[in-house]
Amino acid sequence: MWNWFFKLASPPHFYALAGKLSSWLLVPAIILLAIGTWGGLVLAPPDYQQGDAFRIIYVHVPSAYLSMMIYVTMAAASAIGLIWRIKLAHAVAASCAPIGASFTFAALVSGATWGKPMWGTYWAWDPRLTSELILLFLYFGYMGLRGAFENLSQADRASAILAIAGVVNVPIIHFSVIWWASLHQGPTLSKLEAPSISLAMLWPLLTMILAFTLYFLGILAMRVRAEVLEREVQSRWAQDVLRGSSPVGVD
Amino acid sequence: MGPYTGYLLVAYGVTAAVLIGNILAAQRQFRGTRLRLREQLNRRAPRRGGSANPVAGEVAARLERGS
Repeated sequence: MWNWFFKLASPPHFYALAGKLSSWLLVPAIILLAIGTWGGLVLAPPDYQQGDAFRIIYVHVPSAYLSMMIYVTMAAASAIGLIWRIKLAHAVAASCAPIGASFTFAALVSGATWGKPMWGTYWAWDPRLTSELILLFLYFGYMGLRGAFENLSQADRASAILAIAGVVNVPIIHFSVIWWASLHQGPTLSKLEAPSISLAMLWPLLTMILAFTLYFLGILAMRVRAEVLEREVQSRWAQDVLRGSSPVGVD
Repeated sequence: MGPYTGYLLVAYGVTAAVLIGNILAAQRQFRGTRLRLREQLNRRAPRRGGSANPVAGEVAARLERGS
């Protein structure tokens, strides 16, 4: 187990593995996205109260789930990088931020387009919506802080502290609908009991969540490769890759 | 989709843009980084000492081949 972990943390090993993983993950992700979209837009029946507007959940829920999951991944990678001084972990954290920010944006926009017909407004300063907006600002803050440092290790340390401190916002987003009076509906899938959604509506949602997760991992692998190359440019293996004398760099 | 078509189009359109945009941005970042670092390397004189881990390139190459 530890051997596998240490081997994974080796930059040349991870670089080669990530190259394979990105296509292995993105191809099934795209297939599942097509199936989930078809299931959500065509096969799932309209909701008896919300009509066809409910179909927005097939992009909103996976985006919102990813926005939080990516932040937790970023914070965990930052903590690993900070505690064990593993550079690869910082590369993973840095690569997570733009992906997480884009999915937080997608969650906010898709949520707003559902809110207008259902609540009568695109935006309300509701605990769930506000905490999700704070998450977007945390991503922007993380990226801005990284960009403010010339020195990479200083940028890694400072941004890691921000990522770890900001992770407190994730349970606030998740439990906001339980802790406070909220316009936003309560949890549908994350309850311990059976989900309060019909199976005909549920399977496209689960398919989309799986597709988005695979997609994220595929994109993350692509982005981490670039980060690793940047950080390892002084080492022989990276120079071989860049000069094209190692098959690792051939894409 | 009735009266909700516009809302669905915006929600699915923005999400599709994010999905496609992330792939394009990741590809562009990787290619841009590789090109920039390659140019930096070409400008510099070849290194004499090699790296701290000279077998790493071979290890990575073997992994890439799956052997």
